[in-house]
Amino acid sequence: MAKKDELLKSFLTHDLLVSKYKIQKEELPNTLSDGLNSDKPIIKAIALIIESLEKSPPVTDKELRTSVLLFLNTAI
Amino acid sequence: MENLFEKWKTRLPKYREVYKELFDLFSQKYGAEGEKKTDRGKHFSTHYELYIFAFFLGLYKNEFSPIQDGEKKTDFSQTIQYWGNKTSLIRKNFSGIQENIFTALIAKTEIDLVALEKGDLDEDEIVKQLIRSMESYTNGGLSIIKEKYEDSPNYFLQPTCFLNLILESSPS
Amino acid sequence: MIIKKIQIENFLCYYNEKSFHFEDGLNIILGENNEGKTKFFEAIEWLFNGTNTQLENLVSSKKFKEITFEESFKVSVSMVVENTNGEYKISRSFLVNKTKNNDIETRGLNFEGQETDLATGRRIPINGQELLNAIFPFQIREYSMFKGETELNIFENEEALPNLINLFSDAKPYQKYTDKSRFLRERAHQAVKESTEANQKNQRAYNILESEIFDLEREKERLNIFLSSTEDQKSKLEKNIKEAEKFVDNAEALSTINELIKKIEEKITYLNSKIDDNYTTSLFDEYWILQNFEPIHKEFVAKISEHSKRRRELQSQFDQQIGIRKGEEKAKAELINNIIPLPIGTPSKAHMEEMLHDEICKVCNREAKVGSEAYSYMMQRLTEYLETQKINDSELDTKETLFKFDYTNRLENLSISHEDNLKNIRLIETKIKDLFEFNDKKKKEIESLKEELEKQIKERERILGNSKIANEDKLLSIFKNYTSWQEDLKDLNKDFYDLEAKQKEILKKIESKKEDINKIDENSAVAHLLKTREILNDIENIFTDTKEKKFDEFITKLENKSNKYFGQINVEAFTGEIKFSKKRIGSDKVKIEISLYESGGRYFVPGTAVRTSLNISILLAISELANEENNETYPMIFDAPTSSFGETKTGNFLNLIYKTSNQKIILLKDFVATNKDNNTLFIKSEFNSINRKKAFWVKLERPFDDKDLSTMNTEVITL
Repeated sequence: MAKKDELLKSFLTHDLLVSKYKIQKEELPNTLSDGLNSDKPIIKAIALIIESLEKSPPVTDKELRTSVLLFLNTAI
Repeated sequence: MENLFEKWKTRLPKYREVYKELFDLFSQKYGAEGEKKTDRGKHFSTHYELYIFAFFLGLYKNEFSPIQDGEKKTDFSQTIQYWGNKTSLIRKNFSGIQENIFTALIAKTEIDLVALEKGDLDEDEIVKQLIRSMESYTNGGLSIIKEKYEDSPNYFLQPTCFLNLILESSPS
Repeated sequence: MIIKKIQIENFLCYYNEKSFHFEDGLNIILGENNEGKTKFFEAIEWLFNGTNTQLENLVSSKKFKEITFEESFKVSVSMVVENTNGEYKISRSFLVNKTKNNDIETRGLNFEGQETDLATGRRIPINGQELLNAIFPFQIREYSMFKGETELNIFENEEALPNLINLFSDAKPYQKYTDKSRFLRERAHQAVKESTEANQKNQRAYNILESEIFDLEREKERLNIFLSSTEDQKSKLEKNIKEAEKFVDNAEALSTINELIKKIEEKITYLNSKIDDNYTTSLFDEYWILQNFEPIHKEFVAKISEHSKRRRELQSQFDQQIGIRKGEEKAKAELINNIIPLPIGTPSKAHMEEMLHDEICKVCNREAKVGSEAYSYMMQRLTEYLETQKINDSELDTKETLFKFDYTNRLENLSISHEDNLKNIRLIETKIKDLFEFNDKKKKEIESLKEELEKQIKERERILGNSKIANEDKLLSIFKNYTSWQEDLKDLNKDFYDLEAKQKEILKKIESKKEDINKIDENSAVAHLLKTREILNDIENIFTDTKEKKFDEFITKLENKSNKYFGQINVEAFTGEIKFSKKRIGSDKVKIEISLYESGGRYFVPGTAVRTSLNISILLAISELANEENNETYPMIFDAPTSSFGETKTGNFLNLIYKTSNQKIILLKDFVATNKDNNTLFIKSEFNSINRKKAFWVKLERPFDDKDLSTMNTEVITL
């Protein structure tokens, strides 16, 4: 659990979140589950990717793409 | 005015043949200057230089040792008047030494100048006496040198050896 | 993962079965040279890497000697390890038998793995190679086993560290994110493209732009290759220069000192030429031979002076005689009848004067008054007499002279002229003394110059000796090379700069072309697809940047930890720090340069001991960081890593190493000594104070013959 949370947090420190997506620091989630529930598409997309890639056994490329695009379709 | 000096210096003094080896040892016949001299390991550039040296040595030390009659004598090619005459890049003219030798001989030799001036004695006779005197002092000097050489040959390895010999001798 | 047990059976000098039981933490194996230490290391290497050929060379000679024809035995090396998943064993082995001709025959080479179920204790066979890769991956082994101090120089290869970091660091997991996100973005990009292409209007413009981008990308790739190779060249050159700089300081110093030496030698030659030692010649040329001549000269002067006086005396007497005779003749002529006059002076002058005074001739008693004839005659007689007393040269008969010749004049001249010269003669003694003093002074100067010369020559030798190249020519040629390398580097740097500029330009061009395509896309493609692509693009950037950041963070952490270890274990008390600098070549190649800086900021080229400390510090730092990040540790095995340290510093080093986590097996020859009395080996008492979890001593069973392998049997003693 902790690893996924850490991964998410490390990605979310990127400047783009603030500069382009105008997301404030306080709005950033601390856990993966929070990320998965975020209403910001970019955050949720990242969380999704982390969840897929950290699965054991890992997902196939097709599975990954499908799940992300599925989400983006609804979100955008 | 007559000049004994002029007559005297035309002479060629001799030395005992037994000293020939000293001449061969310390000086160079026909002369060798500078590097040539050093290369051959000689102290004196010419034979007559050694002769002059021996004369003064005998003179200062009062070693008057006449050459016995019947003793074999020999000489070198240069008469007194040429002694010290050559000037070169590395040597000076020291012909003035001839006068000194002459005055020393006059001082030390029993010559009857009165008889000479009266005309009773021949000039040649006086000059002969002077030369004999010269040869005797030189003979004395040579014998001193030979003795020293036989005693301690290494003494002659220093460049100051002959200088010291002269300086140590004060006339009595 | 930790190694619990290593068992060596009939392998090289390990006769029969010998075991090492290890613990987590620091394990030390001591051993004198050639008694089994390095063979231990080689056993592990063989276990991991194996060699299928030359197995005969691995067999214990002692064991082989024992068996008879028909008998056989096993050679094996096995290792038992434990990690979070359980306990495992790997072993490599083969069988040996003796032929009729006493030759070695090997068969049955085997590499097998085994898992021990900790719960049931059951042993499950596993494929050996797979097991090995799982428990101790090759890339990690590469940085965990070091035979000798020089092998520690792994960081000479600038790609080694990035590989290590990728292996151990936090950045590793991010790799898959960057990969996958790139994949997603590319797919999205493709989707957009397909959608746009459907719109024929833009197709051509799109195609043109696409092909332009394609060309530009190709150009970019080509540039990357150039950059990469230029970078390599520069690296090599810089390395050469750094190596040479160790010597160049010396070479420059050498060149300076050669100049100095030349100057001194010239001065000595000059001074020698100034010394005037023509002593014998000066006897003549400078008239030194006359130094003692003054008394002789005085004799001469005295003699001549005396002679001159005598000559004058004689002359005067002579003249007097002549004068007297003359007077007599004159007087004779004046007497009457020419009779012989009385001699002049008879009567005497006194009588005459008396008679004249008395005006009487006292001889004949007649008056002779003044003015009378008798008085006049007497007066005349007296006058004549007086005249003869005066010597009158002009009356002398030239026919009659005393001295026919005059040598005196010339001799007197000589006397006078040499009298003048006396003052010169008196100066001779001083001149001689002065010359000797002058020469002495020059000689002293020469002596002190010679001392100086010797010092400089010694200094030159020291410089040559200090540089690893003691050959003066080689040193000077390195100096020459160094200068030309610097020139080459300047050129390369310029090339590199130009290439980088070109690359920047191309990237800009690619960017602008992509923007153009985007514009087309924006005008035609489905907005949704565009948006998707955009988000995925952003995500890719986020992932890549984050990975990069993690990498950089790791480097910083690594640098700090390395410096921490370095400060502790650096046995040369070097005060400075390690710096890592990352260089990105092209788009995906990364190099990390490790340098040492002195506190002043000056670049420092380390010697052997410092380099070893440096390398071990980095390895320990990496290992510790890997532990923190991954929760899996790996043992490190070092064979004689500190041979250049000496025993005391090795002791310090070990105590520090002890404090670091993860298992370490270190083989050393320190602390083993020979008892001089009975020639036996023993472990020094100093070793007791060394902290460790476990210690062993490998030594050959005594007695043994170092020329006969079959007498060799290494014993393993647990300390």
